[in-house]
Amino acid sequence: MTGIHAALCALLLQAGTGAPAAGQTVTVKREGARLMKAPRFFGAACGATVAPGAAVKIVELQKGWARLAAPGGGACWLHETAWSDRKAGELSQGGATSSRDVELAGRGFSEAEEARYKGEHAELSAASAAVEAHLARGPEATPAEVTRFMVDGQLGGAR
Amino acid sequence: MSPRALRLAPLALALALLAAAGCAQLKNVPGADLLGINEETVKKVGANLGEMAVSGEVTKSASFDMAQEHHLGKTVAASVLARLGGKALPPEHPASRYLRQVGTVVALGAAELREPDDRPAPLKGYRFIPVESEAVNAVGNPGGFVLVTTGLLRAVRSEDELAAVLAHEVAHVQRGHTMQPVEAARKQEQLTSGALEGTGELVHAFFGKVVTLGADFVLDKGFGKKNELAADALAARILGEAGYDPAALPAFLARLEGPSARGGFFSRHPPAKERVAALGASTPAPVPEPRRARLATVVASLR
Repeated sequence: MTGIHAALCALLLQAGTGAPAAGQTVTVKREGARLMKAPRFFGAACGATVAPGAAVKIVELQKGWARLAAPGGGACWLHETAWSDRKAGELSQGGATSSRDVELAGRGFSEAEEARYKGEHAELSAASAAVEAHLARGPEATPAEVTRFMVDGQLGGAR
Repeated sequence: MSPRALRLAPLALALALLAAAGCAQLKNVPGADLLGINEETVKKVGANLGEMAVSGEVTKSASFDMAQEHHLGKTVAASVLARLGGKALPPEHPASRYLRQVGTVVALGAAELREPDDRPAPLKGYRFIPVESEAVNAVGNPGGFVLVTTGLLRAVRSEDELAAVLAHEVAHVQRGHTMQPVEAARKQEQLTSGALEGTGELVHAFFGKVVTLGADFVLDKGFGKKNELAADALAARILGEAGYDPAALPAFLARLEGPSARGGFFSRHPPAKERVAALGASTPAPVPEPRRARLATVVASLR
């Protein structure tokens, strides 16, 4: 009975926080999410990758990290920042979210509006091109590059 | 904001106030015809305002998701870059590569220290962009776009000091300080923008306003003493997490205190003395030779 009660409490707690549970599937949103061999950002990475839009099944959760069924055959960990997001229009002071609020929160914050704004501000064209270049060709360092950089620079001691 | 939007904003507010006051004949508002507002639009404004008053939306603010922050942040970063002179080094430049490596280590350290109320991670990851400018400056923008001047790269005496500045900017992004002015502005603007919902007249007015507002805050105004000191405190923890020397931040601040600290990175922050006192001054550890050498190589690559 105690076990059932504990399980129910855990389920209710999970539902209250909106966090996924083991066995659930989440959809990756973030580009460049790291699949690691252990539940931490520093260290060895799995050979596999996950792209935005990929649906991944959670086997185990540990302090914000999820061990995935695949890819990696149950040996790879993905941090919740890969899929967790704010809900556009969610009210900061509580209460129901109306469709109007969702629209207003999203108003102008889309690719189309960004393009329209830049179209009206020719003075930003060079700067925008530079930012786009870094977006396309200057991603965060890969896990292997980070490890090499840290070792070479004698960073992190035992990491 | 476009010229048309600028013309329409006061009218929208006037329409909103009239509607709130119960004016039924909004189509007769002077100036509406001259500005090309048709009767359908005027009716829509009145209807929107009625609904907003009933729902209580005008008293609440709403959050933005990671995709929205990305599109806004990219535009704010371009605006800030233009204000800094507009010349970024290409991604293939040694300084870009080095900044990316130090920045990624810092960003991962910050990710290890995430808290539930933090902003979602940047949609496409952080971008660390070197900007050709003699000013000593670094600017964290919404969406994880961090601009660093070549003047700052020359001013730091160690990789640890550079990491300290990046950690401060990443802390602002992660804790949501860079989005706070936007979220606050949305609440203030809701009456006007909400009234014009669905009219097709001012769809991107708010976007234009917050791009300017966001650039003003990240570049000039800063995020207030409380947030700046909080970013310093988190930066020190990030440095420790990433394997850098946490004493590098107060050391950098203390060294550039005084006349050399005017403008740029320092102008929008509390006095360096106050920041150093909050962090607690300590003597930085000697920087290992490989770290010293790679910073020197990058600085030598700058024109």
